[in-house]
Parts: sequence; C-alpha cells; structure tokens
Amino acid sequence: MRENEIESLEITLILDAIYSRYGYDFRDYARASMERRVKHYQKKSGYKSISEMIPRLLHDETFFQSLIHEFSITVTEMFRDPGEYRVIKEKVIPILKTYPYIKVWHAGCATGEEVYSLAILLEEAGLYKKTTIFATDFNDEVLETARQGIYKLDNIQQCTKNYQQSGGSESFSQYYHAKYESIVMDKSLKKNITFANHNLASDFTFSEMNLILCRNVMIYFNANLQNRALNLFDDSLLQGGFLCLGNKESLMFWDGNKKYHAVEGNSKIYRKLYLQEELSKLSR
Amino acid sequence: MNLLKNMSIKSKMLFVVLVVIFFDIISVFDMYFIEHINSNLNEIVDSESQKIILVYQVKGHLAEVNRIEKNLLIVTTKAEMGSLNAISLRNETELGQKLSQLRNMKLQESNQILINEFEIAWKTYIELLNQIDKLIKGLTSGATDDYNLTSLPDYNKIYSEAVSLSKNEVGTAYGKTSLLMDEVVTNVVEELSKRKLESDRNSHRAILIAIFLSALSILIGLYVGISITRSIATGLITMVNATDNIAKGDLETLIEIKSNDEIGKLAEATQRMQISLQAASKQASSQDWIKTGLMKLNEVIQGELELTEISNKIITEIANYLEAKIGAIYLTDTQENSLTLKLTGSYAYQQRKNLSNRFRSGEGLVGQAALEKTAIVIKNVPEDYIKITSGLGESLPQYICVIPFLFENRVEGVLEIGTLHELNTRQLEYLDQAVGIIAINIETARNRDELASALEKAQMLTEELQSQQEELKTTNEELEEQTVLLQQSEERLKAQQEELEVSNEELEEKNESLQRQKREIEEARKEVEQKAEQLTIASKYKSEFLANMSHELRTPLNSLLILSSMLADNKEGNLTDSQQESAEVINKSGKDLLQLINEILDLSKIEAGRMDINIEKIPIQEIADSIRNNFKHMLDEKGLAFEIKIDSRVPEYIMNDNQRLHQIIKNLMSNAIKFTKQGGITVEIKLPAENTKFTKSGLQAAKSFAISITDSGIGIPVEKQLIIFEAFQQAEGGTSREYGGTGLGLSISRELSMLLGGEIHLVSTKGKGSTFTLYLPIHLESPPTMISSKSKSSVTPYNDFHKYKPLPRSEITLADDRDKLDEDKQSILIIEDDTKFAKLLLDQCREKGFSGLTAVTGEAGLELAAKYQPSAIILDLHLPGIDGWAVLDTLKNDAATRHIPVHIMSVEDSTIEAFRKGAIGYLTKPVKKEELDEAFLRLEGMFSRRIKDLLIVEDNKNLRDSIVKLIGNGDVHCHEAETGSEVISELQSHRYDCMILDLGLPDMTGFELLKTLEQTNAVIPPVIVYTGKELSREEELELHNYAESIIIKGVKSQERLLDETSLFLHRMVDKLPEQKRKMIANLHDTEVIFKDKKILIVDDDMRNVFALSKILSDKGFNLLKAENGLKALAILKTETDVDLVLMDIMMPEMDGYEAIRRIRAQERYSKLPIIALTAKAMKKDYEDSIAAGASDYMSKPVDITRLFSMLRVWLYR
Repeated sequence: MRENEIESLEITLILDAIYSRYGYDFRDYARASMERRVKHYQKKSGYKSISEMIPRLLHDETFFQSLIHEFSITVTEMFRDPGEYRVIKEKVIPILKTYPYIKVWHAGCATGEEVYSLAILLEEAGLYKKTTIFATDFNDEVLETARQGIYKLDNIQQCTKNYQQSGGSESFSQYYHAKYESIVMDKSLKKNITFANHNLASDFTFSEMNLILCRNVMIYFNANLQNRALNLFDDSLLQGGFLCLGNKESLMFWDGNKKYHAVEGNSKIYRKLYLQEELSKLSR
Repeated sequence: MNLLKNMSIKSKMLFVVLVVIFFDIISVFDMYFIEHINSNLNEIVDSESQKIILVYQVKGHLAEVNRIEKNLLIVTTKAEMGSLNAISLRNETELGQKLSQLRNMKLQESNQILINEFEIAWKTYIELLNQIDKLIKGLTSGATDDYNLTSLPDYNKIYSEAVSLSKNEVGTAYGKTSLLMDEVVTNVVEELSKRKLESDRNSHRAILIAIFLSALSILIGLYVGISITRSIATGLITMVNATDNIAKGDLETLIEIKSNDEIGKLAEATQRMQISLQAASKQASSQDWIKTGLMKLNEVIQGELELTEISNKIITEIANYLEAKIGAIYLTDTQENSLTLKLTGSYAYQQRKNLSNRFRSGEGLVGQAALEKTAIVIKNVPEDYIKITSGLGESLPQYICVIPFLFENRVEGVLEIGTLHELNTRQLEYLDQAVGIIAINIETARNRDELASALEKAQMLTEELQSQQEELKTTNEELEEQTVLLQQSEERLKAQQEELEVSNEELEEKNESLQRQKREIEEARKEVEQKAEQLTIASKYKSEFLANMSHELRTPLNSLLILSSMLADNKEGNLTDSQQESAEVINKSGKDLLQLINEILDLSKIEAGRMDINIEKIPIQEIADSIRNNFKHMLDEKGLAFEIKIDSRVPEYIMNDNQRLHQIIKNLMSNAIKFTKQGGITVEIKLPAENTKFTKSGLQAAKSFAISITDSGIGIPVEKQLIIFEAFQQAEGGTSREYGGTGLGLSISRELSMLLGGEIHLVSTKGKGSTFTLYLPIHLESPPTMISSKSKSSVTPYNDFHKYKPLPRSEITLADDRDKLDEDKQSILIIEDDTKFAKLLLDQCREKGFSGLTAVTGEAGLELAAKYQPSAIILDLHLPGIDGWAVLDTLKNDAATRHIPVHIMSVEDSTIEAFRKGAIGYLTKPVKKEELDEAFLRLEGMFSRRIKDLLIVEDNKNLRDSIVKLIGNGDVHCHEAETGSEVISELQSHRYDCMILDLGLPDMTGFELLKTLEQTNAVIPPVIVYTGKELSREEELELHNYAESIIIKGVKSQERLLDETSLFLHRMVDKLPEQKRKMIANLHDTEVIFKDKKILIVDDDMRNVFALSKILSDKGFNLLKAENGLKALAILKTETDVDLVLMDIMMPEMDGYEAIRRIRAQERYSKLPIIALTAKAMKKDYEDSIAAGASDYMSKPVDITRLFSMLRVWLYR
C-alpha cells in the first residue's frame, strides 16, 4: 500500500470513529477538504499519524470538540455577496409580504453574520416582526457566537459597504452598538431568531419554511450529502418557497432541480414551483 | 537593710570600700603600733647598746690611758715619753668625746649620777696623771731627747715619788672610774630587758587586736557584699527579662522596677527606651502595614489580568484591606475622546437607577477628582447617598474617599470607597501609595490588553485567511470536479467525433463501391420485398383478422361475464340454487371462452408482431417463489411431489419481461401438471450446458440461463415432439378430450420464448415423462425486431378495419339521465359502442349515486362532454367513427373539457400511451366486477380535482372583478359575494369548491363569518383568506383552523393568489394515500384507549400540527395546540387534565427542552407523559430530551403507526 493510500484509509477510519462514537457524520463531506482539515489538525496537535488520534478522539470529548471546530469553516461576513441580497430584496421579499407569518431557515449559519444581515433586510422591508428565523449549525461553538451577535469592529467598514451595495437604505450603524473594538448586534434583531443545533448530514426537516438559506455549506459536501441536504430543503419548503445557495453552488446536479427555477438570471436563488408539476406526476 | 536598698550601687560599693578601708586602716594602725613597738624596742636596744658600747669605749680609753701611764713610768728617754704622752692625750680626748656622747644620750637618772661620778672620778684621775706627768716632765726639762733620764740625778727620787703616787692614787682613781663604767653598763642592760618585756607585751596585744579586726572586717564585708550583690542581681535579672521581652518585640509591658538605684534608673531608662521603641515600632508597623497592604495589592493584581478583572480585584482588595464597606473603581475610557470614566469594578456596590456608570471630566465627585487630579474626601455623607446594603439591612457610609490615580500625570481612573469610620493617616497613606501601583498596573493591563488584542487580531486574521483559503480551495475543488465532469464528457464527445470522422472517411471510400452494390442489391431487394410484402400482408391479414375477431368475441363476452357474475352473486336473492348454479356455469364457461380467445389473441398478436415487451429486472428467487406459490395448491391437490432447484451459479437477477416469462412458465407448468398423474415435477433453474445447441442465433450458452420443468407424466412420442408446438395440436388426437385445454399453450410459449430472445427444448420419452427447458438470455438487450403496436403499419391500416364495423343498432342512445341532471350529483359520461356494456355501466353509475350519460360514438360523446360538462368520462377505444384515442385527444385539447378525468375501458391491452394522453385509469375488457368497482372509486376520488365553483367574497367591486379576471377561465366558475350573510346563504344553497375570503366585510368580519359558518351545517369549502390586514400570530393561528392559506394583499399577492387557488382547486380531498387512510380507519375501530383522551400538541410547524391533529382527532382524541413552549405552559396552567403532550424541540420563543423542564418542575405534571418530537437524529439529542424530562422520543417526520403504538404505551393506565 502506498503512503497516501494508507492515509486515505486512516481518514476513512477516523471519520467512521467520529460517526460511531459521537454520531456526527462527516463521511459524506468533500473528501479533499476533509483530508486537509484532518491533516492540519494532526499537525497542529502534534500526532505522528492520523490513526494515532483515534484512541484519544474516542475517549476525550474536548479533543473531539476541537476537531469539530477544525472541520467547520466559518468564512462569512455581513451581507456577503451583496448582489444576492439585492435579489432577495427585489424578488423574494414582495412575495414573502403576502404571507401573514414567515419562516426562514438559515442552515449552516456559522457565526451568524448572514443571519443578522437577513434580519436587517427583513426589518427594513417591515417583515421582521412576523418572521421566525431558524439559524442552525452543527457546531455548538459557532452557534454560541452567533447567538451572542458580537463581532469584531475591524470588518465593519466592509460590511457597511456590502450593506449599501445590497440596496440598504438606512444607516447600517443603527443595527449595532460598538464597544471595546467590537460590535454587538441590536437586541431587537435577535428577538425572532431561534438558534439551534441541526446537522444536515443526519437530521431531518423540522418545520415548513418560506425561505431557506444555505450558502457556501454544500461545497464541503460530496454529491451524496448534497443530494440529502437538497432533499431536506425540498421537504421543508412550502410550494412557492425560496431556496438561496452560495454562488458556487448549484442545483444542476440534483434530481429535483426540475421543481425549481432561478428567480433571476445567474442568481443562486431558486423558487419552488407550484404543483402543476406535481399534478402531472400524480396522474401518471 | 532598707537603707541599703535605697542606696545607690555606687554608695553601696563605696560603703563596702569604706568598710574595707576602715578595717585596713585599723590593721595599718595595728601594724604601725606593732611596728612602733618593735622600733621602740629596737631604738631602746640600739641606744642602750650604744650606751653600752660607749661605756665600753670609755672604759677602753680609760684602760689605755692607764696603761700608758704605767708605760710612762718605765720610759727612759724623752722621745719615748713624748710618743706616750701623745697616745695618752688622744685617748683622753676620745674618752672625753665618748663621754659627752654618752651624756647626750637619754640616760636613766641612776646612770646620770654614775656618769657624773665617773666624770669626777675621771677628773681626779687626770689630775693625778697630770701630777705624775709634771713630775716626769720636770725631770726631762733640761735634758736632750736622747739623754738617758736614768742618769739624771733626781730621777730616782722623782720616779720613786711618781711610782708611789701612781700606785696609790692613780690606781684608786682608775679603779673607781672603771667600776663606775661597769655600773653604767649594768644599769643599761637592766633597762633594756625591762623595756623588751614591755614591748613584748604590747606587740602581743596588738596582734590580737589585728586578728579580731580582720575577722570583723571579713564578716561585715561578707554581709554587705552579699546583700549588695543580691540587690543588684535581682534588679539586673528583672532587667534582663525585660530587655529580653523587648528583644522579643514586646514593647507594651513596661518594666516594673521601683528601686532608686542604677538598675531603677536603668529600668527607667529602659522604660524610656521602650516607650521610644514603641513609638518607633508603631511608626515602623504602620509602614509595615502599608507595605504589606501594597504587597498584597501587588500580589492580587499580578498576572495577566484583563481590565475588568483587575479592576474588580483592586477594589475588592482595597475595600477588604481598608475594611471599607463599599467601593467602586472607574477607569478612563480610552475609546472616548474626552476624559470619561467608566465603572469597571465594584465592591458591595448596588447599581442604582439614577446613578451613572459613566462620568465625564468634572462630572460628579468622580469626574471632579479626575479633573483636579486630587483626592476628594467627604465626611458627612448625605442621606440619599449610596447605601451599604446587606441581606439584613443597609446603612450609610460615613466617609467617602474619591481618589484619582495617575500615570505620567494622566488620569488612569478613579477609586471610590466608602467606610463606616473615618480613615486614619496610615490608611490614607496606604491609599495614596496604592493608587500609584494601581495606575501603573492599569496602564500595564491596558498595554497588555492592547497587545493581546493586537495579537488576537493577528491570529484572527490568520485564521480567517486560513478559513477563506479553505473555502477557496474547496470551492475550487468543487469547480474542478464540475470542470472535470464537463471535460470528460467533452473528451468523450471529441473521441466520438474523431471516431466518426475516421469512420466517415472510411465510409466515404467504401461508399462508392457500396453504392454500386447497393443499387444492385436494391433492385434484388425490391423484388424480394414485394414478395415479402405480399406474404406479410397475407399473414398480417390473418393475424389481424384473428386479433379483431377476438376483440369482437370479447365484446359480447364482456357483458356476459359481468352479468353472469352478478346473477351468480344473487344479490336480490330471487334465484333458486340451480339457477344460481347455472349462472355460475355460464360464468365459468364464459371465462374458459375468454381464456381461449385471449390465447388466440396472444398468438395472433405475437405473429402479427404486436406484442409489447417490457424489460425489467427480475430476481431469480422471485421466479422460483411465484412458481411455488402459484402451483403448490394444484400439485398438492393432485398429490404430486414437487421440487425447485436453483443452481447457485445463476445470477441473482435477470433482465427480461416478467409477465411474458411467467406466461411461458405457467403454460409449461400447467401442461406438466395436467399430464402427470403420479410421481412429481421438478423445476430447475440453472445455466445451460456449454454444448447446448441453440436453434436461434444470438442465444449464447454463456449469456443465458435455463428453466427446465421435468414431469413424470405420459411423455411425448418422438414423432409428435415437433407437432405439439403447433397451434391446436396435442400429442394424441384424443388427449384434448381427456386432458382438456386448447392446445395453444405450447405454441404461445414457443412464440413468446422467441419474443423474449430464447427458445424451448423438449426431451421426452413416451410413458416416462418430459422435460421442457426454456432458455433465455440473462440480459435481454432490447425487444427483438418486431413491429411495435403503435407503429402504424402502412400494410395494415388498423383503423381502417373499424370502418367495416357496423354502427351499433341502438345508435340513438340508451335512456340516460341527460334530462334529469342534478347539480349536486356528479355525472359520468359513458362513451361505449357496446350498448349492453354501456347499459351495465349506466346502472353501476346510478347505483353509486351518480348521474349517467351515454354515447355510442366518439362524436356523440364529445358533443355531450362539451354540453353537460360531466364530472368524469368512461371511454372505450374501439368506437365506430372516430376512435377512442381521437376522442381522448380532443377532450384533452379543449380547455373546456381538459379537466374532466377520463377512464379508459377497452379490449386493447393497457398502454402507457393512454396515461401519457391524460387518462387517469385503464381497464382491459372483459372487465371483472371488482375491477369495475375500483375504477368507480378512482373516479370518485378524482371528482374533487375537478374545478367547479369558486366563491369570491370581497366587498370591493373592482378587486372582485380583478380576481375573477385573474382566476376565472374555463376551469373555474367564479361566483361573487359582497357580504357575510350573502356568503352564508350561498353556501347553504350551493356547493363550492373553494372560497376566497376578504376579512373585512360590511356586515361582519371574516372571523365572525367563519365561526358562524361553522355553526351552520353548511359545507365550508377550502378557504383562502385574502386580506390587506396584517395579522397577529394568534389571529393567524385561529384562521388556520378554517383557512387553508392566508395571503396578505401586496404587490405580488395576485400572483400567489392564482397559484394557491389553483393549488386547492386541483388538490385531492385528502392527500393521504388510500391505503394509509384505510389503515387508519381500521385502527380507528379498535382503539378505545384513545377515546376522549386530551393531547397537547406543541409545535410551531403548522404542517405538522394540522396533519397530526387531523389524524388524532379522527381517532377520537381531544386536541389542544400550542405553537411554542411558553404557550404550552400557559395552556397547562388552565387545562389540568391533559393526558399527554407531544412536544416539538426546535421552536422559537421557548424550545422544547426548556418547556419540558418547566412542565416537570410542576409537581402535578411530574408523571405526565411527554413525547419529544425532533428533527434531530443523534444519540445525544435523544439523551438530551430524556434528560430534560421527556418520557419518550420520536424523530420527525412522524411515523403515524409508530406514534400510535407509542400513544398506546403511554396512555395505558
């Protein structure tokens, strides 16, 4: 066996170990990314080989927690890809307005910047008060950060710029309070956000949603898991509901893609079609 | 001795010295006295001995003189006489001297008298001598010196005179004087011994005195010495102890020595020293205290503390050290431009509303202190000042001290403390020094914080960069993967293109030669083709004829079968047993006939190439199982042994047409059973022997498998073995009589086997049995080249055939219900040229409560459909005039009839084509009774999908019109209503399929309307609320009890209204599949345990809540709903008889875990069954919900059967 084959086997073993011991299923995550993360962690924690970490992993939960932390890549910022927010504002919000009560699921919310961005957007559209946002992630640690809504001050200029580009009409500063080189998001924005742990690799649908955002999460999944996640979203979306993906993600390779259409050109925001399609399926 | 005590040590010492001196003096005197005695004695001895010496000297001289005188008397010459005279003179003089010396000495009176007497004696003596002398001299006066005196005349005379004189007088005088001298000596010796005695006595006495005095002085000395020593020693020991104490640091106990001596003074001095030491040590200890305090402070704030932490530690430490009761520390806020102080730490400080946590420079005492950079002290604290509070009460601090602390003359912050007592100087000094330390530490902490945050920032940036890098990498990989996929397909295409190009070139080359050959062949082919065509046409006609004959035969048989079956059922009970039996016989014969016709049809179909092949995956095991299941019964009945063997090398699956395969097996098996009376039948599924010879090209042993059926029956003679595969042939002419059957089975089987790409072999010995072996490819690639049923053969104009079909006799129609159509009744249009069957269907319609319409031609059918808009259509495909396919197309292409469900009933085999064209069901005639019932059920189910009437309730005319315009079309009939009362009457008189409701109506609100409607017995259609009103969550929930969907008016609302309306108009009554519904209905009857049980569903997922509540209320449960934990708790407060809670976990406001915990916290609900519902699948989530107090756990989406069994468990009492 060549060295890299052994290493690949080790990674398979460690992922199996994690699944069997803790129930977290990373086996269907993008393999190359997983390899990098595991190896990086191995180097960081000073183990000679990946398989040496397995016994510790099985017995030491904190070790596992920090590995999990290594696994979750939390690149995010307020109003990331402002163009998409503009599309949400122009194409999605008017339809959401026709619902008496709106449910939004932000799957894989990481540290929550984009959750608050959406809350701001909804607030400005006058919809926030009738919205419940479920912000979920499998990593409790980042979820806690999201729950607190405290972010570094240094990035705020970029965020403000993004906000303006997304078509924000107010002063961005009214949504946070700066203190000690940090900003804390306004309490009123947190009111209707429910932060919860949810794992796209193992958990199921939990409510019926008008809008689901899952951006730059599925790039870490392999095709299997991508399908699972998309089916989950499909099960959770109302007819006529919306699904927002990251700008490198696509429904192209998913079987259910016929049921969705992009709301605008190249945008990664899709709308679930009403059931004419379903009807014709029924009569068959 | 008190005297001694009061004496100073010096005096004491002096006293001792004096005593010693005193005794010394006495001793000296004593010694002197003794000495004196001695010297006296010596003096006496000396003077007395002198006297004696002098006496003896005098006596000597006297004797000398005497001797000389005598000598003189004998001298003869004047010279001799002269020298004797000189000597005598010297003696005389010396004697005189000595005598005067003696006389000068102290002499006893007796001796003086004696001396005096001696002198007199002496003088006498001398005069005598002198007289002699003069005598002698006179003799010698004229003589010469050498003259001999003897010669002188007188001489003898004078001489004799001088001698006489000397002999008398001088001797006497001499004697007398010498006696006197002896007397003197005796006197002196007497005196001397007398004196010595006396002196001895004195000296003895003196020695005694000396001894006594010495003893006395020793005693006194001892006593005084001891007592003094003791008094000094005691004092000193006390002193030593005292000084030891001092050395040990006890400065408080003063020395208690009251004596006046030096020790007393020493004690006094020591006391003074002690006092001054006390003062010094007090000074030192206060410094010490300060130092300790500062050290402690330093210790506390050591380490890398963060500002708040350090602030809290500082204030706590200082408050503790100063015993302050309250304290606060403010630090300058570096974020602010102006000097601002912010509360960062406190001690026993209670935040008060009107007190700020921030002070600007000069603001309040804190700000003022910072501004002035000096401490501010308040002694009488005002009443409304902050109070020191404890659990027991509160009090006002008496003393407030506000001190700024500076670093490089910059205010770092301010310290404020309140105490119950005034601070003393050392406390103040401590504070003063402490602030210095604090300032430095705060500054350090700030710097550290800054550094740390800079570091952290750097780390964050790195991490962020790493994350971004990771994301980029992953994104790239994803894109790469996609690119690779695309590239691969591109490469494939390129390769194919390349291949194509190459082959094109080759082909082109060959083309020309081929062209030539082709032309030649073409000509030959055309010839052959013509002949073949003629042949095919002939064969086709035959097959077509057979096929159509069968159809024609089946049509009357259709009615025959159903009617006889109905007769045999004897529903009305008016048939006698024998009549019923006859009906059964008719039915049975009909069925046999049908079988025969079917087989003919099959055969002809195969021959005509009109048999469809449907290739699918068939598990070998399934084949074996179905053989066993289908024939076990028959075998058992005949008492035949049976065995199925499967070769393990046979693959698990094969690809072929399952239905046809079973048909072949069925034929072979039926034959085997039919012709076997005893023994048994063995079925083997195996791989063919390698040397098997196939007659059909293409079948390879390696790629095929075999099913052989071996019986121990009558066998087939060799000469008959080929014949039996021909139609209507059996081995023995007579066998058909004996064994029955059509004799078509084997022909069909053979044809079918060919159709499936295989063949049948036969090995048989007459009388011993036969083995039929079916060989089939394991993987049937595609149907062998056969003419598909749908490809219209130019040779056989299938449809044309119908032109010959005579129009039915009862062209006019049956007496249907077209004149008495009821609006409330569903109507079904029957398009069927077989009037008997049409009549039968009509009866069935009526029986099931529908109105029926009939048409015997397609044209008439279309007319009726357009005119009466029936709810459903039953369509035959074989129709005179336009056929059923065309009717279906026309119906589906017309907007007015498109929505009507069409069910096909035809002698033709069901094809997917029918469904593709929009049919909802397909029945192949002849139809069995049960199939017919099922078809009607299906139609019934479809009625709800029919778009009927839509009621638009909206008081605004324009809006109403716009909705009508939006939705109204051929599919939807729009009715309008303006007021609530109008709606109520409308709904009572008319049935609607959907209602669009505006909430604001002139006479009542939508809520009221819906509630009123609920109380009337009107059928409420699905309601879509269309409103401009913003709804509260409660209102929304309430509306959801009646309304399917709620749309808020807005820019995009019309779009959604259209979508939602068509959604509900098209929707099935119940989304649940039939089977599931039945299952639930079944359960319904058996569960008494569920009756009237109260269940609280807590879930914010409306979809889930409504689905669950529908199912659960069907089961007899009473239901309560709550959308989150808080609402659930509120409900449980009033509804105390809840039997079970279904609790969702992920909810807004309050999640399930928390809700469960709070419910469990109430005593009365400690045993309430709570089932947690969650979308989470991990072990930990399960554990979490159990830990929170849930009784059980269920994953979403909810599995209904599991839920019921869980409910059964938890509701069991």
